[in-house]
Amino acid sequence: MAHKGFSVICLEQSRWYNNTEFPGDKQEWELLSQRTWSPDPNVRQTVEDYPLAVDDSDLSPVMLGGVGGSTLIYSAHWMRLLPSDFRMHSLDGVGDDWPLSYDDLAPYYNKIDRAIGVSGVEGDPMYPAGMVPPLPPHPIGKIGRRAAAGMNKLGWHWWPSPNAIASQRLGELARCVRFGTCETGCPEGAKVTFDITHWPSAIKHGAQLKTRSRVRQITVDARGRADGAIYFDADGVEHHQKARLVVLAANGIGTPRLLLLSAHAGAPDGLANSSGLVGKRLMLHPNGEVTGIYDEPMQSWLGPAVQSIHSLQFYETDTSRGFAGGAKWQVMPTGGPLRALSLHNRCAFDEQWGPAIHDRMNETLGRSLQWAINSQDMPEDTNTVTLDDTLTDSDGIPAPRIQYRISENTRRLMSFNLDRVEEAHEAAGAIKTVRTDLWRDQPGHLLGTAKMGTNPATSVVNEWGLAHDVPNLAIVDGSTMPTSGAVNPTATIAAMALRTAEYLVANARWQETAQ
Amino acid sequence: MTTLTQEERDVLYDVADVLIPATDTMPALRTADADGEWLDRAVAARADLLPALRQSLHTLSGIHDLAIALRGLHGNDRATFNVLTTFVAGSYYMVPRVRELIGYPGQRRAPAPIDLAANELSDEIFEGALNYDGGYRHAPA
Repeated sequence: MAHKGFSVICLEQSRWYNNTEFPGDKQEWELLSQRTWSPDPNVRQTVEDYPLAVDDSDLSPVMLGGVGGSTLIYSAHWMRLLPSDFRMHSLDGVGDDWPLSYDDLAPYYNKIDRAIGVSGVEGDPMYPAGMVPPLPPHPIGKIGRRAAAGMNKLGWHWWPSPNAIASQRLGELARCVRFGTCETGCPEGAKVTFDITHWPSAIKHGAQLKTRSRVRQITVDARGRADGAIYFDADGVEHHQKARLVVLAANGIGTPRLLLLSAHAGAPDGLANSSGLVGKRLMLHPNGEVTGIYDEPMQSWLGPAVQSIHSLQFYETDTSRGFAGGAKWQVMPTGGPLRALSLHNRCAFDEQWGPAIHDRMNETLGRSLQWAINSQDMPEDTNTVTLDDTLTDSDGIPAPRIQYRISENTRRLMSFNLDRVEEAHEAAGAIKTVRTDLWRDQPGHLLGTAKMGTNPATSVVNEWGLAHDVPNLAIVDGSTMPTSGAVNPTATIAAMALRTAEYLVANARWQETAQ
Repeated sequence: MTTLTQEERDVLYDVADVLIPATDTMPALRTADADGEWLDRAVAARADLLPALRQSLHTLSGIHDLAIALRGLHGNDRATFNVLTTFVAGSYYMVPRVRELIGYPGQRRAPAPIDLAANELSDEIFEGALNYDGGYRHAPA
């Protein structure tokens, strides 16, 4: 929008991160990733993040405050939703249909793919034609080939994965050098993060970025139009930034938190919340995984630590399985010696420690691969983000309270898929598998809490991301997704944000604004 | 104090001798990290656990049979056991000589050869993916 001549000011609660801060190229990487670089803000406990009240939740949602947001620590699996994800109610009688289709969003997927430089291979049979990654793929590695051989035996779908990691130098992005530490930040600057791919250009075109500026309220004018935001600077001093149009991009937890914090006399239940749906329908994509140990060295510490190959074999709904929805699977490397040792944490003392430890390390390090599943989550009004009564961030702003329970449908879905994952490892020749039924601190897919739809009574924003109640308030993050699908959502969030931005530019003449 | 005292180090090395004992091919932590560099780096990396580490080392100080004590912690107080192993294994597997012996080069720059990705997809393995006969569900507009 800055490029198109709009005056843009962005308030960011955190700060810039420098690639040299990331721990992946340091000997202590595995230790630092346990705390300082944990994806969980409740573990990191920095002033730039806000804490989460999670005692009523089956999962601890993860995120990172920073310029570029959680892309700094995401795994860069750059997946599109499938056509059926946009029509779940029509096809399966559950969830909701989106007010747009795959074909509507495909041009924006294509644009954002080219803008950031997705690496991958054209032709995945689980997608409509036209998905052409602009950069060549990364090696799938020995782990990918071993897993793929097993999938071939079973006749199951797999494909070399699209990833938001540069396989060649592109613009501000460096070429991947395979540190294998993508989820703790890329020391090389090869992972697509929006501080690298978009902010330099936005600033060049006049956008202002105010860091350490934590918004506590979106303000409204006499007509109830959004007219700015009150925020705290790094010294805790309060400011009011005026605006004619407000765009909110705090994702599925931060966005409802801020809307609820912005209640006013005309909107006592929260800004843009006449539907009562702000903060409801939280979807988190519960993850599980099975790590297989194999009889050959596979250098399974080698990056990129994204998805080597993926499978959508069990993605589409098949009601004969006893649940709706499906899961996306991906093969990932397994890191260094501490991770290898942790695979034996459930063993007896004498099987893991003492003289046995050297055998375990020889058998495991570099010889394992992980099949992980990303599960579809159904929207349910009982899974919510609200404001906590006592917990606050470092500025004294109420923290979000997460109430989230994994549904019976999702539990069945996860159990079915993890059983199939075990079969995939068996077909690939694993000599041992270690299964994690639920990964409590994964992933950071925070979706659904400001639903998109055409009916103001049953949704928060319209098909362009503009709030029904506040027509000059746009929301461009995962909160607007009516259903979750089962793929990593960043590509969809980015495509939807681009779609909204282009709409705002094209319709600026008629756009209602604050006075 | 952000480092361990010599007395605390001595107890930690005794613990390490039980958890990761020396063999004909693998050294003990006390010899692999003779000047304590990697233990200090582990302590710096997990400084948040230092009070808990100190407490557990104090508790284990003077215990005659550490193997029995550690088995007890493993079975009955896994949180304390995990604090000890964080520093013992964390420092041991950072030592360059140990990494060399286990064949782990560390997370380092290793750019892929330019033709590797294409070569990996040039044989019968990728043909399996190309020959997959399933597909996505078509959805109403």
